[in-house]
Amino acid sequence: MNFVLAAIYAGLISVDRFAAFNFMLSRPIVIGFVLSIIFGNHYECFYIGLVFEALGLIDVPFGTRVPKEDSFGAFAACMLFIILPISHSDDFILGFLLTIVLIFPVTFTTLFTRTLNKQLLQRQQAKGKVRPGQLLALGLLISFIRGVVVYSAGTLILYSLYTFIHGHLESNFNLLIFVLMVFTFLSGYILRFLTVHSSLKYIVFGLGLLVGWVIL
Amino acid sequence: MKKVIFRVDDRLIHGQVIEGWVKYFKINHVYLVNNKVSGDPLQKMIYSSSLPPGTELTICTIDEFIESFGKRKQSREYVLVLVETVDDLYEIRSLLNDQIYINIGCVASREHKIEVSNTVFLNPEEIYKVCRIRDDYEVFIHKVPWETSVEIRNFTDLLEGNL
Amino acid sequence: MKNMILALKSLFYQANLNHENMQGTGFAYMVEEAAKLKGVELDEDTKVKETEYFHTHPFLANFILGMWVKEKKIGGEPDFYKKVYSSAFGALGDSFFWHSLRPLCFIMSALIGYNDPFLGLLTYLVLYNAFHLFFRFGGFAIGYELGRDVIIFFNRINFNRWPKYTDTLSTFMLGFFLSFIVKESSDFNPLVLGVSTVYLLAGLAIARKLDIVFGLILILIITGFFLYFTGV
Repeated sequence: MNFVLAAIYAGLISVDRFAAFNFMLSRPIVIGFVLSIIFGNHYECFYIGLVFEALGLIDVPFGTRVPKEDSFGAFAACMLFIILPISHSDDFILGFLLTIVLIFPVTFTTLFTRTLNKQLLQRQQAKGKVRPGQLLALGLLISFIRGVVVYSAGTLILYSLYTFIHGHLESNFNLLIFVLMVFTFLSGYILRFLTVHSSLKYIVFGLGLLVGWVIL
Repeated sequence: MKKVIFRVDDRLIHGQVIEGWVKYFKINHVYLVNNKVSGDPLQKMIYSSSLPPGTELTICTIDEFIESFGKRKQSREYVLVLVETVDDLYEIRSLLNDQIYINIGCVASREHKIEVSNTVFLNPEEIYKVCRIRDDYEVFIHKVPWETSVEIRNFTDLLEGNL
Repeated sequence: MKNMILALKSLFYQANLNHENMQGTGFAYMVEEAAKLKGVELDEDTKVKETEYFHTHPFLANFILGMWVKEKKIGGEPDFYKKVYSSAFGALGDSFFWHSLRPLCFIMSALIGYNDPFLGLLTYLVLYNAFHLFFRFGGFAIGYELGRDVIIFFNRINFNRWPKYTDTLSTFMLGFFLSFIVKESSDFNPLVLGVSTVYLLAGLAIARKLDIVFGLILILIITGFFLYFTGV
């Protein structure tokens, strides 16, 4: 039942990214929260959400650009960590790397969706009668199906690839420290991305660090 | 990246220009060179309001730009010059030099235009003008700085609508 | 009430997004509904014309819609200002909603949702959508009221300054959040703190030089080796 819910949610993510709503149900950190509510595994999903959010945050979806599918990254990686109890750092690396590789073909399917939308429009234009309502309904459906199919298939491929090639190094590291360090590195990217005057930026950031350290 | 960027963009100031160029390079001065915008106070207000604070915007006609740009003081800061069409770029070609990055960003599809890239559609006359500019300087099709730019080299292909 | 229904329908207006007319189909759909709402008759040619290229920030599209109907009603230049505003609102909307509001909501929700995913989820959705829905639901009425002068509303609220304020707050909160998760980490020790500092500085140093995906791949591998050899 939980997996059916996850598949439906995958469809909603795809719709929310570009087709409708834009409620931000597709943000990686939100995906981490939702999947942890469905399946448990809160800290794993939270930390995975952090990493993929940082990855996608600086990729602003303006104009004709198709940003990287950070949503898929978070969804698939969370699902992998939910399905497989991963506890070794070499396993984390493999899981993350495979997810990152799969982000590219999944991003490409967004382009495919747009092409399909274009063809539907052009077909109606050629017939001399454009029905916007019908095109929007079809677009919505295409986007939802894309989410369910591509995200589920992507997760399945990720799982298969992972179980096929994962090594057997017996090391006992934990995911949280691993991802914490990776996120700290990515914070540098986010900090660069935020548009605040340089000197002010580092003062404010330093102040934040200090306040966080002293208060908490 | 060269400090002075000339960009053809028929949407003038929009998300791609702000997020891709102004914020990325921390551009302090944007010139919007367009006769129609320059003569319309409402359009001037609209475009001025869409820039982030701290970025100076000069809106001027093509003639005013030709007269003033050559006289401006050399600066180490980035400058972005936006024109709406290839025709406008061709009109200001006397200002071009090797220190300027010439970039065609976004020219929307219209009837009888040739698809040069997925965001640039030009008619044969515009292609001819790009080719004349290309005789002296490099011209790029470049949406945003972190994506690969395409240098326009092969004119025969370009006239046939391929890159 | 009818304005609300229009705003709800606008939630779907991007569904036919494509590289030919971008959001043009959605705009044509909305314009037909909006014109009907204000008693403006549209002929077939106008309906076809509105399916042409149109692209702006989706949350601000309703302002353009309101402006368009008003201009149409008073015999102004709806299509001319539609183009001008689509660019300007693209710039304003992308800067605030995509560039600035998302990082702030992310950090706030991560901070609050660290121990409770439900609270984190609620924080993100409420914080983000408070702004989103305010503009989405208020847009048509304001656009219709001000017509071609709709930019006045954005100037009145200094909207082009919002990203700057939001980014400043996000910068502070990012620092706060980093301190929080480092200290909260159950395996926290001075070595982790030192390495985290080096990681942050490394991220800052190469952020503009190396694509984030390659940066991430690199750091995943380096971190793996680091943890393997240090046994943290």
